[in-house]
Amino acid sequence: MRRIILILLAFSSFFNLFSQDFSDISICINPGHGGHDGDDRYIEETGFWESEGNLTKGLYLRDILESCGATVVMTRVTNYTADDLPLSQISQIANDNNVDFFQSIHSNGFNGVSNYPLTLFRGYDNAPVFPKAKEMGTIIWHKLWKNGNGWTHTGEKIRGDWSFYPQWGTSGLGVLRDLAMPGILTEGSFHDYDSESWRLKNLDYRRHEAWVFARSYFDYFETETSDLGVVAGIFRDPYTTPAFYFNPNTLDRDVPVGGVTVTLTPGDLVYETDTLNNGYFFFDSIVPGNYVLTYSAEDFLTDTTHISVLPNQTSFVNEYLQIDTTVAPTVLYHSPISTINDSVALNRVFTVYFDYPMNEDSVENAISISPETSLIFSWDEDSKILTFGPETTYAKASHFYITIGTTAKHLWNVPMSEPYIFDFYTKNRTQLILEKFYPEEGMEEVSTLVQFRLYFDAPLDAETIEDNIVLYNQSNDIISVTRKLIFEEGGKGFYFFEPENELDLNTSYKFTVSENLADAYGIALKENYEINFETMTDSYELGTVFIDFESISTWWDPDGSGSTIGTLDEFTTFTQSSDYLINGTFSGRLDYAFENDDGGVCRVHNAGTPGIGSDPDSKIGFWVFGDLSYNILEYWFYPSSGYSPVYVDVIDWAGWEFKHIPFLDITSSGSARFASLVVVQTEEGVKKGTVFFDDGQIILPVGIDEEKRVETFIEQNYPNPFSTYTTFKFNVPDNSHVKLSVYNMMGKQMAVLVNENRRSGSYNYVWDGTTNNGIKLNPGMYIYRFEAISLLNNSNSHIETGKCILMQ
Amino acid sequence: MNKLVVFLLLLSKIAVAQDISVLTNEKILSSDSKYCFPHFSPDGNNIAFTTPNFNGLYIMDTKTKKIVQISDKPGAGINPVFSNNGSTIYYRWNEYIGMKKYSSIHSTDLNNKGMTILESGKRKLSAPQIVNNKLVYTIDNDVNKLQISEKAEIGQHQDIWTCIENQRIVVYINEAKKVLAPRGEGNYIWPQLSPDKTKILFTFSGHGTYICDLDGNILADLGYLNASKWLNDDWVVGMKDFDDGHVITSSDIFAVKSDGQRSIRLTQTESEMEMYPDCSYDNSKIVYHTLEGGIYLMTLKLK
Repeated sequence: MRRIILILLAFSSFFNLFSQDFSDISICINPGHGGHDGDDRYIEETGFWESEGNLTKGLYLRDILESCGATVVMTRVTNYTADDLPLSQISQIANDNNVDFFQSIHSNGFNGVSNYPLTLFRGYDNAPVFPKAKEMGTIIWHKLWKNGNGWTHTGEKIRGDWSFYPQWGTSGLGVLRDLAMPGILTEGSFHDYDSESWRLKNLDYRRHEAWVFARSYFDYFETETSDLGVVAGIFRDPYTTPAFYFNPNTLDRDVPVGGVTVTLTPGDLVYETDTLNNGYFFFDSIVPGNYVLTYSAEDFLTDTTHISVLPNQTSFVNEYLQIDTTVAPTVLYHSPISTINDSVALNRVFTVYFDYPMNEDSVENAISISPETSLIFSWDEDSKILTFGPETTYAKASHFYITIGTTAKHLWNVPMSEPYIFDFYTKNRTQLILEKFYPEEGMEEVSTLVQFRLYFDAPLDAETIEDNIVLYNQSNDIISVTRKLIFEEGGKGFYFFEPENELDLNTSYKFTVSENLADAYGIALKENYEINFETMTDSYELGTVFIDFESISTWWDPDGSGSTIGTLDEFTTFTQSSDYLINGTFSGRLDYAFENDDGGVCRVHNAGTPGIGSDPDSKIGFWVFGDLSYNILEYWFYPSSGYSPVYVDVIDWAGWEFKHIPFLDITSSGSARFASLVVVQTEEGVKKGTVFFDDGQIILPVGIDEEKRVETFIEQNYPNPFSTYTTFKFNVPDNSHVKLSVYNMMGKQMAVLVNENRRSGSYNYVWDGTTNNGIKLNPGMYIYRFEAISLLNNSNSHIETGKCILMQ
Repeated sequence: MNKLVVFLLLLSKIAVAQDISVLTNEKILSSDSKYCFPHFSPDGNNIAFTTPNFNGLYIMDTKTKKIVQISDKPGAGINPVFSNNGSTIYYRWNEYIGMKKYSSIHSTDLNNKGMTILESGKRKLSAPQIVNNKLVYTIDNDVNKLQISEKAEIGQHQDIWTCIENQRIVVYINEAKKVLAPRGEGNYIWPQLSPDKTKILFTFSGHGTYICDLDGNILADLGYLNASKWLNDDWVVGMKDFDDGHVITSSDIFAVKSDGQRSIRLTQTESEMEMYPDCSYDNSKIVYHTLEGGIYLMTLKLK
């Protein structure tokens, strides 16, 4: 994809006032990613591209530093596909230009609910490759923290990449690994946290981050600081909650206001906040002194604030706009709209939207309904949105009138000037409707561990279920059922159950739903259903368990697993459960809820990343208790390089099924590790569900003769004693990580002869008595230590030691 | 590690080609210890390298496998150069004073390990190069030349060398300086003069690797190839590395004909990522490191 973004950065001549001298200093700035493709990241809700944000910040920073006399080497200044440089080229640009410092500018993405700055340097947390890089990372992090908005987490996030990404060993971040000078990667904030993503849409917000970086360079290089200051801030409406995600413990709980005219005097500088849900304003390069900030917006009162501007600092003005509380409140609209041709269900809930926070009691007392019906009310946290419905049901086939009288008042006790009246019609409901059921009529290959599911258009009368929903075998004998779940959700009725014993393979069954089944309002089904199905022909092919969920300490919650996106955090969890099991005491339970209609990803990562071997003929599978959600199940793996997400199936079943994929879907060669269980939202899929997992297994090709499997061992080296060469012979029955080391009699490791993964089999290793650096060991007795850890089961390890004698 | 065994175990997939074939590929330094950025001495018998934290300079005798630490200075192992007779190694190292980078050039006599300070604590000091028995480098883009041998080379030789200054290619021909931007504005990296000193190999970041003449006229487009070096006047060797924007995900070594018309894959392993090759002066060997920190020595057969 080719995408152009040209950002014109107009700076005033205020830079001439700077007293910093960077004339001897060179800095390489890498605006991360590029070109709207490949590894770029896009936030659909806000239209934010990380590549654009990084570039804008980088260009602003370049202009500031160059105005101070610095030599700035940019790795890119546009946003074409060609600008998405290989990481090795980025670091080489810094190396070939012999710069003093390197910075890669990024914003972060994780789970949509996190927002904090992060700086990364090469090395371990407490052992940076370049200590100066950690120093700068610390300077920048603290300035970002001090100057940021809506941080959701506390605690310093100044990390060495080898510690932060332990799975990459000392390879670390590619952009830092080949640098010949101190360098850092900055993640200024999280672009997938909606409130922050909207802020990042504002170019001046990015420009302010560039100022934070520039001030960090002033500190780092100990130059004089800027003579000028910045005035910036956010205007919010204290009575309205954002329609997008926010952390309630931050200022983001109140919606930012667009279209605010902000005037800074003296100077009469004017800024108008944009309409991109950030409420952000910014005055650059302001001479220190005392100022008055005046701000006004439609529907709000004009207000002023006195501020002091200091050199080299930002004066923040985060203000709440005040509304005119003398104005009478009104109803903006209600939902849904009902007509005689578009009648509503008997339990329909209505929502009414007010323009002011309301006195809730006064509104509820002011509401009347005809024909008379008992109502139940609930409010949003701003007291601006009222939801109500019938305590039981409305009368069927009726015409209702709702009146909100003029005794309804807002929070400041001014009543509505006119009543608000609307009407609706109720359906002439004559029978309970069975909307969906599983298994479906005529279905084959149904799991013997199936869960039956029936979906109705109204909540059920539980008393009528047992006699009217019955499961039969092919001899028409009634089969006992268990774990019956009867519940209501969204005005609908649900009944789930399971057979008391596992069904037989390759057998016909049926269940019936009779006409006398009734809903909670006494309305009957009035039809008879008979649903026939057949169970699976063959039992599942199973293997060796490598994950059993008896402990989930290595499993991460979805919001911490990375790649999870578009989920509602409070309803999305991964826990242990004993509700549904295949074996043992626990299974893994994934509850998920997607925020939007499509595009959500719910990932549960296993930080243990257990090895699953390298046999191309093997299969990897899990027991999965499906939720009939029609979302997609994926297994994710780490092959020898990169990662490999593998499609498993659409979750179109309920109950336990064993779902496996062939190893070759992961990688064509080499070994692999299991990483994650993932549910990917589809357009057809439901937004909320629960899936259970148990006993992940590796299925080796059939035909392995267990009796011929070799045992793990190492033979005494031969010849022994030896003077020139000796041979170690060892066997491993499974694909294993093998380490063969030699120690002297003091226990000091002298040589590591083998340290790598080996396929199952027998091996000879010839050793000439030298160290890894080729130095011949002194004659004497040595200890060899052999260790083999199965890649199929980490707990299956074999350690053996022996002695060998090296002669002159 | 025992050469006989490891030689067989770690032999890469042999590239059989009409023009270049891989005879052997031996892991000469284990990834357990993690080394990187190997460079050949002129006779190919010694290999200089450093560590992933860029501290220190080491030399390995490829015959005895004996390793000697030459320097423990930060950055000393990045682009060191050997004298033409291989008896001395020159290297730049860096320190940070007031957060600014100051560089020094030292040399070490490999016979007696005697160290000489050639430059000390200079700003904007380039990595040294050897040109006609002279050590050349720049300080703030001003050229310095040090005669490093009393023995003059036979015949007339121009001092020609190339480097990057202000993101562009610079060619020095004796005292004259040419600034080249063969592909226009952008970042030029990895410039290297051909063995016959008539061509420059370079990468134009984001676009590819090219060969131009000393006036900047493009002679060949080699496509995607990083950290490339001349194997001889007809072939170059480089890496094709790929990443996901965060980490390197794969890398292999390729030989590409200098007209850009042929490309031969020299490594093809799933488990290793081969990077930053260096070519021996007699173009019979390549040395490179892997992402995990092992160093391999590959011998080639050229038709």
